[in-house]
Amino acid sequence: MSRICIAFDRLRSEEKMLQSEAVALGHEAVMTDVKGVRADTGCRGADLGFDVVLERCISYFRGLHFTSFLEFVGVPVFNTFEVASNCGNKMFMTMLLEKHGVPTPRTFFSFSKDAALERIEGEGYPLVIKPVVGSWGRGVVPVRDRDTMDAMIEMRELSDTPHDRIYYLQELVCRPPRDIRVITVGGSAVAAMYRKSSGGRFKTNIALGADPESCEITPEIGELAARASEAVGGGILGVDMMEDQSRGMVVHEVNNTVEFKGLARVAKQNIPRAMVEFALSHRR
Amino acid sequence: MNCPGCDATLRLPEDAAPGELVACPDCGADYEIEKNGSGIGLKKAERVGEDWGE
Repeated sequence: MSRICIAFDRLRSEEKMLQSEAVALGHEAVMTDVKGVRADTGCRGADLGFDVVLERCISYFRGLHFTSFLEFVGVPVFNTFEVASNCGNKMFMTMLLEKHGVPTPRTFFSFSKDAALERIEGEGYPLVIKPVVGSWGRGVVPVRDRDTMDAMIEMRELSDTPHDRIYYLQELVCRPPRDIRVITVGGSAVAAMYRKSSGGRFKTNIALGADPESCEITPEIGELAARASEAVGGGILGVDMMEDQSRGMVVHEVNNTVEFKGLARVAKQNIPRAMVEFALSHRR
Repeated sequence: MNCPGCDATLRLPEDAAPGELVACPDCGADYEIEKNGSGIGLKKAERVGEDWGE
């Protein structure tokens, strides 16, 4: 029997499912609220007593720093610091996808508002502006004209967030009103769903009310998801892709602490079990 | 258990565990369940952060 730690900062049904599967497999699941963890430079892996950790924090920075601590004390953690860092920043992630030959929308990076404005005026509208750090579609806006871009810049200038000084502008892909979320575990696609936007909206995030629908993992989807996973370092991931009408599938995002509550209800494969088994196969 | 803000009755699920959120049906405030000695208590839930998500 192994001790697997499910580390969280907000307990959701996903973490409860992971706990249940670990117990069903005959292991001890230690539910750990990272907000209460006492960490210091004197700690060693044996002090924690975990064989492996599934890092599931809803706060990216909290999870990233806790992951760095786990790696410091020598406890295996999924995802690793490198993968979490790669996926937690859209600019880093996009560059890795491109570098590894994974088809991804063309993306422009600017490091000041003036440069961003000059770039979008030069490239032409529309483009999609996204915060480099953030999730659930927050701050993701299709910019179709100068007025919208001016408004986005004004909002960002009012913010104290350093990441808002980095401008990530992506081509608006011509696609049906849906995208595809693929969950990969250890580089293999285990489940997929369509996420349909509703009411003519641009965004397809389930967190914003998009309708999920089961999606068959075709060889093309499975292969592309595996390549995207490999590009960012592997582990347990949520790969988002779109059906570009001219180029075929393009990957636009890879998520680090993937949510799977909705997909778990319709997926043929047991998603949390696959995650637990993968983590345990890398235990100390 | 009652809402610390408006005193409405909060019905917690039987399997409620520390770290989970509960929303008050009357005032809408969110609370996080926490350990309180041998039982459980409530504390104000964290606000959604810019870095929250997947």
